[in-house]
Amino acid sequence: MASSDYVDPLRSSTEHKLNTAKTKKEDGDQAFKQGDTKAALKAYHESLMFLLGIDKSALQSLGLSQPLPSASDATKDPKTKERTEIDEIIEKIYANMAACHIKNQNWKRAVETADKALQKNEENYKALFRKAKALGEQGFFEKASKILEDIKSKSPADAASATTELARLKVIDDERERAHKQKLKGFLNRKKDDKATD
Amino acid sequence: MHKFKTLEPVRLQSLPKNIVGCLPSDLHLLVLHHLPIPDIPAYARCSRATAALSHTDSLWRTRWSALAIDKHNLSTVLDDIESFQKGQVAASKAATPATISVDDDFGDFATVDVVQPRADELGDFIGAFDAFVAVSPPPALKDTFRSRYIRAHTLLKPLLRHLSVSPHLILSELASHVPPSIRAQAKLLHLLSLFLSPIIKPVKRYDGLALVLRATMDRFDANLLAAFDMADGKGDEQGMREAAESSWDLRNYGDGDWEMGKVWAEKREIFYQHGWKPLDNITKEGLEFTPMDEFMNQILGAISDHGARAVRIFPPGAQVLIAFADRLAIEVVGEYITALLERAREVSTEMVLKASAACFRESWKMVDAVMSAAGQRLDSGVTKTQAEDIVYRMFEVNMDEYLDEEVDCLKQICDTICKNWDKQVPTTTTTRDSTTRFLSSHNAAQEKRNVLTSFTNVLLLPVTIVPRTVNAVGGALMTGGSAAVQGIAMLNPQRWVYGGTGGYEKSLLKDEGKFKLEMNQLDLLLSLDVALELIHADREALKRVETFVGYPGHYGHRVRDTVEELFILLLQILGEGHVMKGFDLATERMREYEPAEHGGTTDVAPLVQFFELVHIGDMIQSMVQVYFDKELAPHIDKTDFLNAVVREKKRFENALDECVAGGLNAGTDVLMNQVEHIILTLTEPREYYPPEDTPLELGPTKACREAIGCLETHCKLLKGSTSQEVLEVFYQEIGIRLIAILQKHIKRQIISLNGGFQVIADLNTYHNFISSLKVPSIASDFSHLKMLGHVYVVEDAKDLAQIVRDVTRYGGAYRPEDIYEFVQRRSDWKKIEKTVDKTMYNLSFREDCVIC
Amino acid sequence: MVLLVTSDNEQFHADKEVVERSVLIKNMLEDVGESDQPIPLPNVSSSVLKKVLEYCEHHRGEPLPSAESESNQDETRKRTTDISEWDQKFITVDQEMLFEIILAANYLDIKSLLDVGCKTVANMIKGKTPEEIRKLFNIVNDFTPEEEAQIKKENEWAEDR
Repeated sequence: MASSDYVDPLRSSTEHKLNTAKTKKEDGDQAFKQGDTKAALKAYHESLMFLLGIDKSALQSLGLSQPLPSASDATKDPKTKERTEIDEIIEKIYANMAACHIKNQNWKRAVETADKALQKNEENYKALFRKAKALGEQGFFEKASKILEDIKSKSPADAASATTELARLKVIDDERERAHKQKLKGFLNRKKDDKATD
Repeated sequence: MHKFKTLEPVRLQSLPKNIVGCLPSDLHLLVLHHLPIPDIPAYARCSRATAALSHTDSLWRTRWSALAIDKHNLSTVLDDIESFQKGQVAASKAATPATISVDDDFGDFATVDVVQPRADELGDFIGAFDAFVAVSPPPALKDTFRSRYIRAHTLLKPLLRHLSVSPHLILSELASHVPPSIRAQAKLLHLLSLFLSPIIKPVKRYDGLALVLRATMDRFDANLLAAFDMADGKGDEQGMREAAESSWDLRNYGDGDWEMGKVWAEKREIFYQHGWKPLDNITKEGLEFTPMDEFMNQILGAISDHGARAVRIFPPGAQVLIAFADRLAIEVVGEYITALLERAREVSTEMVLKASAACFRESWKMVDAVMSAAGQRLDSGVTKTQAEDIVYRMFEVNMDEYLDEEVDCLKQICDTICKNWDKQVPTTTTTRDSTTRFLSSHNAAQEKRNVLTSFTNVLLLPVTIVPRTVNAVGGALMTGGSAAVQGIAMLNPQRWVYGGTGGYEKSLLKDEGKFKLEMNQLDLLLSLDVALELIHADREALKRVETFVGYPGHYGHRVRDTVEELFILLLQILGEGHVMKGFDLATERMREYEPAEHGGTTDVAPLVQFFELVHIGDMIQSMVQVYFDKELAPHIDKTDFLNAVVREKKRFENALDECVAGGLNAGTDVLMNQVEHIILTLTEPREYYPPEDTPLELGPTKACREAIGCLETHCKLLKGSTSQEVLEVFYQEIGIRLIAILQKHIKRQIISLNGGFQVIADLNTYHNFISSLKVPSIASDFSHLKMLGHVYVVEDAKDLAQIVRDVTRYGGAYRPEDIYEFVQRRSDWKKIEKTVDKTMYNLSFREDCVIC
Repeated sequence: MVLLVTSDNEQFHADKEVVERSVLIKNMLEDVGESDQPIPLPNVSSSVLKKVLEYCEHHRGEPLPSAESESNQDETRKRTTDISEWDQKFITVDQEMLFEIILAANYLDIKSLLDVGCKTVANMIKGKTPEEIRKLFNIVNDFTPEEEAQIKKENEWAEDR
């Protein structure tokens, strides 16, 4: 087919981007292992810059330049494979970014990035666990425990850590509850006092 | 047919996420969200991929949820339309097609459907025919959002054609599709309005149709309003409720204005009732709130009557009760209060303040009334906060003025109290001797405890915010009950002092009776009475402000600030205007005191008075502390040392301490002058040089006895009124000055051997007295002084010289030169001088060394 | 100032406030802070980025859709069906550029721009025949006639008569 001439350079550029992205992801992983979350986040972000828009190269190959013969049956398979690989990397990067944010105690971004990973693969239990942890830290105990229970039932491998985290959050939440009740109690007492002096 | 089967929607959806044409599929979906429904078929027909995309459920979920069928419980409407259409179909099958023949499509459909139902067409029969065609949802589709939407779409779309008929027919034509209840019609109209929304874009000219529909809904709403009014006229709650709920259902009213509730509220008579007489609450004697009680009873009646009905007939979401109560509060109660306060302002500021607090307390009853009206319905959705906010909002206009005035007024009242007192001072001081209650009492501490207990009890008495005559019935809602009625009278110290014989005395505890007694007598430079009056005035203001303490937001802050401000003001006025002034005056008087001018020997009157002052100052401080603990503590953080109140209190206490210290300083001067005066005047010329034949009396001289008597009395007076440290400093000061006086005194005397024993006797007595004060440093000074007496009883000059030289005898307090000076006062000095000198220095001194 | 580098290696300087309309860049700047190093945008060409920055510049300072509204973004997106006059003018470009802008907006995560683009495309589809739509998107008809007839029937309910 005539299109193969076009596809090759484009695919190679896609491959080039993919490789750059992979390298940057490696950099990020390395930095994360060394505890440099900031460098890790930077590398991950840059990697994402390469990965996310990669669809667009497909635009040129499939869409505008060529009225394709019969909807890509031929090109579909390799493309699909490549894309899923991209998706996989993106998923991993987001899951790792969630880990970075948790380390930095940036709970809000941790939830956001974990969600992005889960968009790619909702059975990424690591990301799920991180999301639960970050939610719990923000005080959303109910949401967090629901997710953790979910992990426990679906992923035996992560069940143990989920149980631990669940227990930890419960302690925090109980503490919070007690403090709250204390406050409320004081409030009520005072109300009563007010009445008494009326 | 065979080929069709290969094209299952399921398979279409299983296509990988992909580029479709020039956009990724997820962007296609975004575009599809914006695409009107009628354009979807053409899009779906582009390719397999677009066909699959057009099936995507998220697309249809958006449109389905835009219908809000689940949210607003509208599924019954669809069921109604469906069953109606089924009924039509059934009827048409049975009946001769007289009317049907007019409608070509219907006839066509009937033929197709009845005669030849084709299995493969059931799935998508709908679009093929116009209007009434719906029979049942396509069986081929599962329960997806798409299938649900298609059902709704096919049921609703045929109704749209009614919107093209002439406006006055639209309603009746639409109504024929649902059961003949206005409720159902309202829901249908509501659903149609959602259907014709830009989110769904069900047909091409949906926006035009939506306008027609809107006009129709307005007309329908007007009809409902008329129906409601009619039902209201007849008192038909059922009818009102139905009309109201239909009108509410018609549109999904969020928090916008809802005509019907407003119109209903507007018609309540209470808004147009005149003849309230707010001014009646102000009588010649002052405030008397019985008229407002009656007024409020009518208001509360309106709430429990109309408000409760509003809760019963209007949907909870409309919050008509709150709107009604709000309006009632602002238009009726607010007006009433404004008029009342205006009149009060003409009388006095104090009246405004009292009236403000009373009015607020009265209006507060609305909260309970609203809540009990809301109790008509479990799902009324009325919260206590909302009810409270009604009153808060209504009263807000008066708050600025009230809070400003409260502080100003307290300042004025307190200033007046102080000024009145200042005027009294000159006249009362003449009777000062009879006023030393604390000092003459056997047990000052016990006495003070009694007074404090009484004070505390008085503080616990309630303050009446809403003034009423005693026999006015407080009503069930009145807080505090009748016990509170007399509270103000009881706390009024004026009455105690000027001996009111009203009923309050009977209800006073014994303690307070005694308290009153003391009040009468304690007229000094400082007055507990004044302090009590000030605290009372402050407390009254405080209690008034406390009425508003629940205020939210800006005014809440201001109220709390005012509470603090009031207390600070009290401390400032009490401190600077009264306590310090009194102390200053007392100190002044002590300075002016000349012992010689007064005959009495043992009493230094200003000092006694001052000590009494110290007691009273201490008492006042205790009272302030009790007041602070009981009344202020709930409002502030006691441990917060940066808090303005805590700081001001500390300042007040420090100032008091300083006053006491300054006074003591002056007092010591006065006291010691007096002592010196006593010693000087009472010492006989030959006291220590008695004639040889005088029998030896080994007791202290009269001067000594009197001086010690004087000191003893005053030292005792101070005990228990100030801190131990102040006392010690005071004693020490006395000791040091006494030594100086005595040394000077001895050096003025000529002392014989016999007289020497008298000196020793006196010094021993002084020493004993000083030791009784238990201040070690001066006690040892006096024991050294005591030793000094020995120089007058040693006969042998050489021995004497030894004694003079023996520095250790006096613990280093006296040098030989000092002793030498004392020795010179011996009556036989001329005779022994040379021997002493010689022995001491092996030198002969000339006589002129003697210094007197 | 933030430095951006496009796929064709052109550099763009832009205010932080302007580029932060892109949630992708905003997140990055938030996470790693600003630096002199350029941010690579290997999937946007300079001609498109220029256009996108023009949009961002015009809309600078407007509130970004918050994370909470993410879940019901479809609804908020729907609520505003009209395109503002300026946006209308802005998006009046040739088809190729329109799609490029949409892709870039999607890549850079600029929701409002993506919205404008998608609405515009939807408007273009309105009233067109399947063949015209295929042309618009460069889609190849892979239906057999029977299949297409089937799809047509399936969707007939939606047609405006």
